[in-house]
Amino acid sequence: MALIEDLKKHWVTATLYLAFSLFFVVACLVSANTYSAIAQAQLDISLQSPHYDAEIVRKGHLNISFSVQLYNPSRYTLHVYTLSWYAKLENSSSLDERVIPVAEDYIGPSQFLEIPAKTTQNYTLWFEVSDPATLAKLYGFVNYSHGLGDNYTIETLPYVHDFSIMLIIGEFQHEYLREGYLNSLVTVNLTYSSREALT
Amino acid sequence: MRLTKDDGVRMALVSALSAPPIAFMTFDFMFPNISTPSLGKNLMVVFLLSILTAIPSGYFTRRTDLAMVSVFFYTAVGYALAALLYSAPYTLYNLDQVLSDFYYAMFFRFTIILLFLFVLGGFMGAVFGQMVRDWVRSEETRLTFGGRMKG
Repeated sequence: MALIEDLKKHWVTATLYLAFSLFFVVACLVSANTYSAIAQAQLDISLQSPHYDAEIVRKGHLNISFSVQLYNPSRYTLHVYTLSWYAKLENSSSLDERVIPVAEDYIGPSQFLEIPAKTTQNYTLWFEVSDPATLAKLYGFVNYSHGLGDNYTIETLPYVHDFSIMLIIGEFQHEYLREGYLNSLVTVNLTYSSREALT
Repeated sequence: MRLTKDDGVRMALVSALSAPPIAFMTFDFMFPNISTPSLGKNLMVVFLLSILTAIPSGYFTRRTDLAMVSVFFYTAVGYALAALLYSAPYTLYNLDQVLSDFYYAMFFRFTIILLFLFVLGGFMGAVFGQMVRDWVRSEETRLTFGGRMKG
C-alpha cells in the first residue's frame, strides 16, 4: 500500500507526528482526570460532627464554643479562603433587637490555613462573653423566659450557631478577570446552621 | 477527481492523529486553571499550534483539496472529543453537575471562536506541509539524479 511505503520512507516525520499526537492524548487524559477529581472532591468534602456548648467560667463570664470536623477525602490540599462563625440568640419578644449577637470569629485568606489531602481537620472556635451589656441581655432573656414557663439558664439558652467556610481546592485558583466560573469550579462552600441540617 | 481508498485512509489517519491537539486546546481554553500543561488562553499560541497540527495533513496528503478537507475532519473530531472531555465527570464518572445551568451552552459560547483559528491555522499549516514535502522531494530528486547528470 502506498501509505505504508510513504510512512516508511518518511519515518522521521511520521514518528514526530505520532509523538506529537500522543503528547496531547496524555495531556487530554491528565486534564480530564483532574477535572473529574475536582468534581468528585466538590461532592465529597463535607462538614461532620458539629458540636456546640456554653458554660459559665470565671467571673461569671460565658464561654460559648463551637466545633466541627472538616472531612477532606480528596487528593488535593484545601486552602481556607474564609471561615466565619457567629453565635447569636434570637429574641422574638423584643421589637427593636430581634437578635442578640453573642460571639463571632473570622479567619481570612491571609492566615493561609490548609487542610492536607485525605485528612479530617477539627475546628474548635470559642469566645468568652465578658461584656456586661450582652450578659445583661442574656440574663434578661432567661428571666423573661421563666415568666413564660421555660426553664432556661444562661448555659442552655437556644443559641443559634452559623458556621461557613470557603475553600479553594489545590493550586487551581486563577487570576483571569472575566472567567468567574473557573474559580467557582475549584471553590467549595460549606455552611452549617444549628437551626438546619448540614449543607 | 475521484477519492481513492488510499486517500480515504490517509485522511482518516490524519483526522485521528491531529484531533487530540485540537481537543486539548479546546479543553484548555475552557479550563486553563486545571489543564496540564496550560496554554493560558493565549490565542496566538493556539493559532501557532493549529498551524503545527495541520502540517502533517499537508505533508502526507498529495492533493491540496483533500489536505484541506482533512483539516475540517480533524477539527470536527477534535472538537467533539473536547466536548466529551468537558462532560467527563458527568458521563464517565456519573457525578452530579457542579457548575451552573447552560453547561454545554457555556462551552460552545466560550470555544466557538477557536474553530475559526483551527480551520484558518489548519489551512495555512496544510499548505506549508505541502511546501515542505515538495522541498524534500525536489531535494531527493536532486540528490538522486544530480550526480548521474554530472557523471
